[in-house]
Amino acid sequence: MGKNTTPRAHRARNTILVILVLLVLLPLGAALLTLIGRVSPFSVLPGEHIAYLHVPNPVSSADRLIRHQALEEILSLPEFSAAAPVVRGLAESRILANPLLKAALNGDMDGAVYDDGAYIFSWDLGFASALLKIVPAVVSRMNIPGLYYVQAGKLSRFEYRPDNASTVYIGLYRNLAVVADSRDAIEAILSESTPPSDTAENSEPQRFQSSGFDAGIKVRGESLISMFMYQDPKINELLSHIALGETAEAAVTLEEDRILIHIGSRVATRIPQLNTLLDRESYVPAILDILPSTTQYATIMSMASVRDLVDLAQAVQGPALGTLLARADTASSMLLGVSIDDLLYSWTGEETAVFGLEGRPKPVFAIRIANEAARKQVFESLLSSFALSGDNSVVLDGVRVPRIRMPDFLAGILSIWDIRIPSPYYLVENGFLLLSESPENLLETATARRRNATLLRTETWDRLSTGTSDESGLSLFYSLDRSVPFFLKGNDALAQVLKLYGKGLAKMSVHDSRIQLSLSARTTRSMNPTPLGGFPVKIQGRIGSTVNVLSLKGETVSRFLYTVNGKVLESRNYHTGETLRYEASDPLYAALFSQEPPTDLNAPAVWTLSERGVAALLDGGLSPVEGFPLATGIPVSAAPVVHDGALYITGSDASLWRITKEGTKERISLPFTQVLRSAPAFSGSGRKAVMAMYPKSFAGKLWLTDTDGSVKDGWPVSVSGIAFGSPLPFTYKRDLHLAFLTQAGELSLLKEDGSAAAGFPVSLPGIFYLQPVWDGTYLWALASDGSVFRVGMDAMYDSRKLQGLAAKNGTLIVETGGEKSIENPRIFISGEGNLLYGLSRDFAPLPGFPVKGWGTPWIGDLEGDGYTDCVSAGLDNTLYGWRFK
Amino acid sequence: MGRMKLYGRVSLVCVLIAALFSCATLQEDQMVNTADDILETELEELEKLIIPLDMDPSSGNLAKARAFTDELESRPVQDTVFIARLAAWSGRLFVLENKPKEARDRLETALSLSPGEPAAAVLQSRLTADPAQKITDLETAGRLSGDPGLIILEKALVHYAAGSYREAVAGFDESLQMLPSYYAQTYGSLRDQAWNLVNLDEETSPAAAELAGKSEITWAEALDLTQESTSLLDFLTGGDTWQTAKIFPAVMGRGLLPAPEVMELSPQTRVVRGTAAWFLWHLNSVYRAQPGLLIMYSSVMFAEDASPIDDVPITAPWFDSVLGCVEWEFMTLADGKNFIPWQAVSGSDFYQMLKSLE
Repeated sequence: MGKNTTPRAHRARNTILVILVLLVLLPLGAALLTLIGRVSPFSVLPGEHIAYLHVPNPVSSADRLIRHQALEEILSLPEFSAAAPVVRGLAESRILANPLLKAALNGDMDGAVYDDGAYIFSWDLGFASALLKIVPAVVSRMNIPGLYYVQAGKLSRFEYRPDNASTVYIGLYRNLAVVADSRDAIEAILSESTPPSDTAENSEPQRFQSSGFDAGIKVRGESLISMFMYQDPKINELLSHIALGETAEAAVTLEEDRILIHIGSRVATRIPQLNTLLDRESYVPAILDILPSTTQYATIMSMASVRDLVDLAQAVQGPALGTLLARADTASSMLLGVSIDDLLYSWTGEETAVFGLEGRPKPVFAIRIANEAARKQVFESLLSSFALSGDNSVVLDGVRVPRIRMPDFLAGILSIWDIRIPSPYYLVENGFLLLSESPENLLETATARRRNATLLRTETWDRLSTGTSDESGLSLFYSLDRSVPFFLKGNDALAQVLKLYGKGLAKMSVHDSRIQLSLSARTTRSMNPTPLGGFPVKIQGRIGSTVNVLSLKGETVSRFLYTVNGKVLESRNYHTGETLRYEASDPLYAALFSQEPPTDLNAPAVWTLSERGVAALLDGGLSPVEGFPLATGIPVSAAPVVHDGALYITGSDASLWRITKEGTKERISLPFTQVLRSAPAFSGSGRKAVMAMYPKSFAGKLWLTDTDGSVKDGWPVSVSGIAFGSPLPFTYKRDLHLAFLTQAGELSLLKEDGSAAAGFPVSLPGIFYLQPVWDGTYLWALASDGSVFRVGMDAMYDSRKLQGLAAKNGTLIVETGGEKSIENPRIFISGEGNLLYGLSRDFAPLPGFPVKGWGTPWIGDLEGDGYTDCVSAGLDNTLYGWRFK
Repeated sequence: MGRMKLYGRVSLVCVLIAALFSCATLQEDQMVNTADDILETELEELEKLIIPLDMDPSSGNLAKARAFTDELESRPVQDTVFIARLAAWSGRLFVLENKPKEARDRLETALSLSPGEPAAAVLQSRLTADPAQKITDLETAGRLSGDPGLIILEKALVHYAAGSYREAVAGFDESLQMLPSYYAQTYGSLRDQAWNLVNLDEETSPAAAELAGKSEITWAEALDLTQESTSLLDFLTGGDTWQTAKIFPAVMGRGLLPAPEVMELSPQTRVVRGTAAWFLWHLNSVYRAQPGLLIMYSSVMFAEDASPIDDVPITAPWFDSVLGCVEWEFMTLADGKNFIPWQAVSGSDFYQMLKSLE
């Protein structure tokens, strides 16, 4: 073959080879060039900072973040909701999982915060920094609102100038993208007036004790201490005596169902008794071996004996406790003939614990026995005393469980730690004295190890303790449904986030005078739907049944609209909770001015109509637009409807009126004399729009007209029987159709020329008070007994009965995607009660439904993030919000 | 003195002997057990016996439940949660038996053993007089409980008793989803009644609310309800509230009810759908000053045709009234074809009809 190759083909082959080599070599060369003159992101952070952040691989960390199970609930917290659209956009794009991107952007990110609140962040873009030169040209063409590229030679940079916040400066320097809130700071870096201080020895990231984390932060010790100071005065008192080293570090690692936080610092205290404890090396507590698998919470102290704890309490609480102890000592000597030292300290070891078991309210206390002979002696002297009574008679499931009455002086000492067990049962098991007011708890604990049913063998413990050493001086194992640890009692953002994790394990250990705190918390809920952040909201007054959402163009902020006490329209800002009100003198109806969001708060946004016929067009701030309110004098016969920005009002004098946004009132000439008991239903817009009407009558007819009331060819069409509502106009295969359902269940489907579609009418078995809805493929109907009907265009139908639902007064809603089309829209149903049901198109109940709600909820995508949100009014005058996939 | 000393010594010996024997008695073994699945099931059986007593506290059923409670209480069980729960249910039974002291004792036992026990929270609520305090206590208990169905239900019952029907429905609907089906069987009718009264205005007087709560009403009550909750009869009364003896003949005299030659009606006659339609339609005609409405269907629209409603022939005295009320949506057909004119009207239905007309 080679011999037969022509020179032309040979040249072509060589050219292709050269191109291929260039295609490989050029990027490779560019990538290699990025290795020249590189600086570390830390090196450009100037001066003394109060906090330093290090993210070893931002892309990988962000990828783990979006796969984190609790992310949705975190984003629904008001503090984080502003970031939700960006985060969800990233999640949907799946760009972060791209291995090429991960490889290209594998550099570190460092940031510093300074005394005056200023910040600088610097990200090593790795091999992707080869593309930095073309970034200004590319980004400038993207026309991002508020983002400008400032040409200033070496100091050229991006400036992001949001409307209501200070400017953010973004500079590209060598292999780094640098972000700062100060022009001076960014110019100093770009001009190299502060040369990078890049040496391996003093590089801050090298000094993190933890490894493998997603984000690490170093802060001043006192800042960290203040994070733990909450409502508990005793803990605050103790913390006030503790001083962490100048710099403390915290490292956060994210996994799919778990968050792991490590905090480390040197520690010193002003209390000698505490220093003694902190000098002790931590070990694996023995109590772990006997905690039953049903343990719901446990506090384990394994760095201090009872004497240490009493001494520490005395040091922190002062002389009053000393007096109490002296009195107890006297009482003990008099009554029992033994001193407090003998009574409490002669037999107790260095471990104490309190824990609670599933379904059992009384806790179990455990004390390590250091000297069993001494314990026996003490207990014998206690039980033989006339001052105390014991009861050795209870034999529980064949096991004798003795009981003792706690002497008052001992109860007084225990009350220092809020322990109240006036007459506990007790058992000795595995070197521990177990005490509880409930003997069955002792029995369960005593037999747990024999049954191999200990906490250590559970999947929960296994998962929580992975990545942390079991050596600890103090451990807290918790389930938030049973106990809330002190560090979660605050309301700051961190506590709010950590409360989203149902189970947790916090440990404190001491090694070489360095304190290590770890918190491993795991999500236990997979709630679907997830409650929206900030919900539920209690409303002052009787909330109406309909919820609407008003958003401004280009804004992610949503406002919920609902009526209160019938006469007041309220608009509640989702993010701030700010509530605006418009009050009418009599009950009112409200409808959005347009499905298109208004451009600003001063633009027309909402129509209202009172039962007396007063129409008002309101702006986004709920102030009437000029020329409104308008007393129309129309005796209103039904809720009005808005079409193309105009309000259509039906009158009980058989009239139909159109009120325009300019305030003009036009009577539409109707071709019939009966009263409309429901507003016309519209299809299309502009001149092509049509109105479908049903003047309710036993000699009823359906009418299709244009918006001026001119009857379309082929109409009216007679119907047999009485019905509620207006016919449903919809487009199927580009043709207009009308569906109409009588109370007795006769479903008609009519074409634009008034002729019946093949197979119709269909008789549905049920009683109907609602017209059907259209989901793009099927018609859906709701019968009063809670049966839901799905009717195809071929006149075939299927149905399911929702147990417990009565729907004489009901609502049927089809999920719409707004501008996006939804392949399989879901159906939502409310009836005579405070439950909102959800069904898939094939009648499968949606997970987590029914949820609380009544009337007509708002269902849609609040923030354009692909999630469905539902905001419903509750009969208990509460606004509920849910989010689901 | 010597005699006194002797008595003293004898007494001391007696006390010591008594103490010795009583100590011995105390030291007898109590063979007890933890609560197993069988006991838990039996406690659920007790719950199933006690729940229906809220609606039907007949002495036979009370005695049956008490006997079972006594039997459970006599079991040698040492299980804090079981004992607390049993005490709470026993206390609830004592409330129904009108024995508040015993109920309080059981509440104390239950709370001391298991403060978060939902049945104890319910018992506490039943022993509290102030409805606002009940709600506060139940909300606190509900927040702390991992199994709040019982507490939410009790809150719904308190709301119902206080006339807060919307909150009652919300509570019933939420709790009955969480609880076994016999709860829905017991409280379903109360829940439905709460729903019927959900639309009562906040301004509705207690007298009107009571009438609206009735499953059947007489014409005397219907006229009271009309006067109490609307101004529809003001054209007759001048805005005063007239007693039955005065309003009934006045209403008859204006033709708002069928004349004796058409139908015999007295203030004690129960309201049925046919006569209700007559009253509403004639009232509508007077209210709107349109007497033509009274014959528009029989003499104009259906003069030559059959009645469009199967069970209301054109010859029926209320033919025009029924058609008018259905078309104007004061009333509805029962199934789209029949009106069922002889069916009794409940207070809440009549209230809704009046509100639609007003």
